[in-house]
Amino acid sequence: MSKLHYLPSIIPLTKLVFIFFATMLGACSVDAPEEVVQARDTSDHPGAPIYYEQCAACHGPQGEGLIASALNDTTHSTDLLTSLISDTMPPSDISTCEGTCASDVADYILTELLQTQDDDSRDDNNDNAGQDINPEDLASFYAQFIEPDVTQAKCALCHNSNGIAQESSLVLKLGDGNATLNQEAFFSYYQSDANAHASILSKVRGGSAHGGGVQLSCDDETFKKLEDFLQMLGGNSAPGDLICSGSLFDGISLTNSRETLRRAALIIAGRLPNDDEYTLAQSNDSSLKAAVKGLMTGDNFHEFLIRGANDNLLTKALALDGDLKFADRHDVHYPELSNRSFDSNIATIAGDENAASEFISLLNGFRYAGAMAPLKLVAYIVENDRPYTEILTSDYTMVNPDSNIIFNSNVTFNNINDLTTFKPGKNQGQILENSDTTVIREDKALGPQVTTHGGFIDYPHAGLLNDMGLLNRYPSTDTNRNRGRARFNYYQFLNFDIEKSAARTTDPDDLADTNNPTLNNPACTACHTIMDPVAGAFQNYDDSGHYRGATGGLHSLPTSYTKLADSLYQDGDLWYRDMLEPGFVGEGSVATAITEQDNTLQVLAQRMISDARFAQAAVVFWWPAIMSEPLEEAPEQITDEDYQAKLSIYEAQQETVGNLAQQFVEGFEGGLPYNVKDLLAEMIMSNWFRAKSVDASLSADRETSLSSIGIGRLLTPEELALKIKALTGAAWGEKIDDSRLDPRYDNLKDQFTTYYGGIDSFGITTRATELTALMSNVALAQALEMSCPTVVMDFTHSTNDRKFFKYISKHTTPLTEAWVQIDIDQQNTSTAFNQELMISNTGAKVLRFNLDNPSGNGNQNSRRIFIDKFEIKEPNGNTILVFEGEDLITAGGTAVDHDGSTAGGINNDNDITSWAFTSGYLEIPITLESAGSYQITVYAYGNTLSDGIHPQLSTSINNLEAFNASTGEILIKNQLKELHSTFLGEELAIDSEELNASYQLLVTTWQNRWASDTAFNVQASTEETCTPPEGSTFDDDDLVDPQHMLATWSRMMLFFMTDYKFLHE
Amino acid sequence: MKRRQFLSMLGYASAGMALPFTNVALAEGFTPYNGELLVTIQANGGWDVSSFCDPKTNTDSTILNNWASGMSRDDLPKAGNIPYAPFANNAAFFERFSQSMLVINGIDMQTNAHGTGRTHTWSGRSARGYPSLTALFASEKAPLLPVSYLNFGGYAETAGVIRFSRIDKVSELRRILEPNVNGSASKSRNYYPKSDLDNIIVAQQARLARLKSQTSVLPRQKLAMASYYTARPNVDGLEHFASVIPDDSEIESSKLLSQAQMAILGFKAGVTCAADIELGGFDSHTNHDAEQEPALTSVTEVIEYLWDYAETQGVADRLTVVVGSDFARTPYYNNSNGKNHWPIGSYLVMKKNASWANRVIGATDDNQNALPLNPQTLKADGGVGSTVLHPMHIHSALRKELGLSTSEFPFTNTQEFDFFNPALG
Repeated sequence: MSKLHYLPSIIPLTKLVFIFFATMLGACSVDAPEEVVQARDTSDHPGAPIYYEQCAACHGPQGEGLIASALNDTTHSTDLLTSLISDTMPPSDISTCEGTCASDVADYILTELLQTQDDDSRDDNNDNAGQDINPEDLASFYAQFIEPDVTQAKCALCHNSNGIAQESSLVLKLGDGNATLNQEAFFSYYQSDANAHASILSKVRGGSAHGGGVQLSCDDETFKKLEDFLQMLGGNSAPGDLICSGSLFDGISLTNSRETLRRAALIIAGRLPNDDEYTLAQSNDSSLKAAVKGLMTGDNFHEFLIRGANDNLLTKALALDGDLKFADRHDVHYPELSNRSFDSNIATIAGDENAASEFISLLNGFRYAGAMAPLKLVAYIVENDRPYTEILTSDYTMVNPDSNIIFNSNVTFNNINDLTTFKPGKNQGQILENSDTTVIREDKALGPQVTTHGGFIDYPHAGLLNDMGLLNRYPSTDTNRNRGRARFNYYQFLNFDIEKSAARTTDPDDLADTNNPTLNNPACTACHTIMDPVAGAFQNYDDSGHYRGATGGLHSLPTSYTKLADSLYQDGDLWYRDMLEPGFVGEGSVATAITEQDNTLQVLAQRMISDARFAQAAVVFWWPAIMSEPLEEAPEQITDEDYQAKLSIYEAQQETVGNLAQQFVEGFEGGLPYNVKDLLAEMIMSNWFRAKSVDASLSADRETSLSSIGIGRLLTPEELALKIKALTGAAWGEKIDDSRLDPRYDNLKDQFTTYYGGIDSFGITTRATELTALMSNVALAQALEMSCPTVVMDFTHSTNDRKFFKYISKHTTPLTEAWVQIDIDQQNTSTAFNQELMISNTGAKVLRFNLDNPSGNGNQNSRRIFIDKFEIKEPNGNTILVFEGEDLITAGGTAVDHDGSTAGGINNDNDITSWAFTSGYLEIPITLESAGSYQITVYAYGNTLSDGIHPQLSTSINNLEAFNASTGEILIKNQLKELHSTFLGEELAIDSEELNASYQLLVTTWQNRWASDTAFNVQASTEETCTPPEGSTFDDDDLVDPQHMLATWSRMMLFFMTDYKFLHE
Repeated sequence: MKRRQFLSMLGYASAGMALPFTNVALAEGFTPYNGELLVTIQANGGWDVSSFCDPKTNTDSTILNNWASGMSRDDLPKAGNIPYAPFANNAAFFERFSQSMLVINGIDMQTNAHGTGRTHTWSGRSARGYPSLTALFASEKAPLLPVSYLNFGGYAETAGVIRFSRIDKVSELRRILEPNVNGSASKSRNYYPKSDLDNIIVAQQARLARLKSQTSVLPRQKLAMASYYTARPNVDGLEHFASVIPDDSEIESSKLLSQAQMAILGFKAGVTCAADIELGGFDSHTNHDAEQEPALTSVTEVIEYLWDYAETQGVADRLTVVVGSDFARTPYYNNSNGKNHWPIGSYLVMKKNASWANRVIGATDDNQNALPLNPQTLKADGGVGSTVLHPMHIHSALRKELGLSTSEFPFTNTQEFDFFNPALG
């Protein structure tokens, strides 16, 4: 008596609400209201009393819906309705109404309760659906394409009455021979919701909070068939393909090889590429990829791996002074810990002043090891090109010198005081607290002492699954029973979020169900059948992570279970009898038990790495480390304005994840399977990382879709710290602080990490991706403190040893045409010093003599230069200017000190009349008629020196203005060009707008400083600070700034260090 | 304000079009915000409202609360019109604040998953993608304040309408607020003259404007540039913030109270208009009473501190406080003397001298099941249109009460409940 209601021309249709499975209901245990009683009594249909007894309290006496959905619009066939009632109703006990009961109720609902309207009236309400489609064609199309390739191959695996999606609005029949029923189920769902068309196409692509994630993509032929089928169902009113149009990356340009390599190097290696690497990268994509992979070595790559792992695992929280604690000093399961604590207390009482601190040092090192071992394991596997599957299967952990002691690992360390060094080792330090173990607890102040035990267990390592730190970071409780651990491991290593796979029930009856609902109540079992077997696989580990940690050493079950009055516990049990047995549920399959008792997690690990989702999880795990943003989550509300835009990027990313995962398993381009370096390199080569610009304005939807990809990624505090260090040689505030667990300290990584958008691995676990005012002030604070010393330090080196200022001196100003420095190494005797200056630009100039290391404090005080005479000869040898020093002013020259006062004056010593000055410069206007080499001769001498350092006199020919293509302007612009490239990754033309703007800022800054009458020193007042980094010192002369160019370059360095492109890559 | 509008506010005329900023570089001084203020107190983990503001005594068949042993419903204490549970020493709290407090009970959070619960409680929707009430408030009231939205680690979805700021240790905060100051107050000196800093920032703002004006810029860059562009001119405002921070001796050492203190100081300085305070320890699956008691005490402690400090700093009159949690705890104990998750929870809304205070709206039965509420009367009287409250009803009403947009990020509720009409309920 099957009746298909999919064609309005044949059978009347009403707007259908998918009844029983639309909401998840329990038996609504309330007394039947009066109207229910009346309605029940007026019908003699055999299904009527059952309906009013079991259904009406929720669905209403007229099927109008009360707590549960309304039934009065249903168009189910009797067969389908019967089947649904039999399989799912009433939720509190689905065995209550099967067989005749179910068919009677279904028939009653359809024939009497709903008082089905005639065909014509239904047709009026569904004027478009399915019109002009021959039902036989539709059925044939469905049976040929949809039932086998979509329904049975994809949907029905979960969307069946016992599946994880049993509570959803689409419940299908799994198995052969169900095409008719399933077609009708599809149709019913289609009719039930105005958005069904788009919703179905969205869900199969992972959108609309589809618990099953991505099943089909736009490019799949099967997806197109599904679209066709829905189009046939909807007829003229079907919305058509609204989704799959255009590529996300249409019109997007990518970074070139140099740009890509630079970004990659800064992010994964914390440095800039060298010339050889740039050369290698530029040939083609293969060579670029090789260059990228070549970056994956060294300490900074190691830190990148640690960071990437911790952003997911968050075990660093165990090393903080927070709520999470690892390692109890009195833990008798680890005698090396508890006995050393005991011995330390005894020794302290006996007067050993070092005993307590030595033990605390060990304990802290052990705690640090707990926090870091999981991260170090991941890094070790990646760095050594070991298959990534080892993160779950490794038969070792990572130990430092302290955990090496507690674990009895017998690993050799070169420096036992360096707790940051980790090596592979086994945990051979745990004992069972069984009858062989004797623990003396005589004095609480001393703690317990293990005097005898039955030997150390052979800890069955299963990589991260039973890593001590992770077990403590994600502990369990008596009632949680390892379910949190199961969820965590599914999420991290199988890319499956149980929490989101199906909605948790909130039905009061289900929540109040005390009949072991996680095992018996369908509202709960949907998730628990997946989660609980894996929870059981952790059966050997107690809440604190001990292997069989219960007293007696036989199991890890809590006394709240084993000692309960009516406990199900029996001797020999490892797991709860009222839970599913240990096992694993693979994707789309049922649980398979794990019967191995001693090493359950090792077996679980093998099953997990064999699951296709393991490789996908690896991609998801490492994606944020490269891209800075996690993968987009599927949008949930189809009515949201940005739904389609978000679905587009979600789908595109999922496609990338799938492709990468497949290659990860097989090995990229013939490489090693499960090689993370290859995976990272592929991510870096992808459009997601390299998107740089777009060739046209974007639509609003594309703006949303592309909102988290490409360049413009805010560097994390750790990345910025390494960038600064790579460029300047030191991170901000970098020092060794032995008072810290990890003595390697710098301001960004440690003190200001939270303020700069970093995480604390506990309360704050997601990174900021956009700058706020506070964050920009952190960047500013760093630059304010570092910019000046960076510049001063660089200029203290010889030109070849400098990092930045290789082509310029601190005497090169925007006015400089030519310049030379003279070491006035003669005292008290006027001596001729000859120099040649090459001039290419002729015209009005000034000749300037500058005292480059002017008199200062203390030993600098004696510095003074006496200018007796000077002369200039043209390239042809003619003398064009000759002066006695004392005639400087009368001949039209000037002598200027920092504050604008006259620098020095006429002096008469040793029978020599001269112009003597201790700081500032002397300047005389000249006109140069021809280009070429000018010979300048200065007759001068200095004072007897207190510090042995001769006064330095620079002689220069300067232009009158800063913007006339002088040699100085060209040199400075080239220097700025280099700095734009080094600090900002910009390759600018010498005449570009940005370079001119930077030069303008430099000139203005320099001129302002001259105008401010500031002394010739970068630290001229309390308005300025230039402190060398930890471990370095500046001599007084290092800070001397005779042309104010050090101060100017310091401010330019501040400009670069706080530029948008410096903080983003 | 949606993300596209936020971008527009940051200087883009439309989301699909990149336009240069006007030649604005540095703010001319700083004008402190003096409008309405909002704090949410997020009791993360699922608080037990049956031991707090929706008190339940035991039934013949079930022990709902150990503290209720021997008590009948009539024995429950009442502060003003607000009954409360005599648990966690909260009598003083309810007695003090009943006249400033609206209790809304019987709200179905429709989940017992923590993540979804927090999303639902604080954004009004269980699906992701809507901003928290605090984010929406800050984005509409004062989006360009230097620290407009303060979050200390709790739920802080912004949906792209604003960015939130985090504050850690106060000693470090001072240095960040005044980055150009080197050394202690008595020996302080600057790194650079302020005029030099200003010149650099002006040049950088001009450069950012040029970079942003390029039509080829991708959305991520566009937003990042806009964020930085708006962040930079706030130097004066942050320095003003520094000026209201007291000496170390007056800084709260407890993480709990320091959140409230810094929020109030941000309000006082006029640099902040909204903040989330996060509390933990409520997920009492085992030994419920022992865990829930100090957790609930922390709620009352932080609320009392918040109002006291707000009063001393002169911002109490402008402040609204909303208190909530992921969901509630079961109306019974499990085998480990704990209580598991229960979806029917409560909100508290507080404001000084509010006409709508001293009321309890919404109801649950003896087993803490939500009763449908009549939107016309705000009573569980079975009237036409009665429905069970969901967070969207509370958010919809709160948005109106706080003067926020109700059209952006709309809810699907068909009924409006005017909780803030003192004549109802």
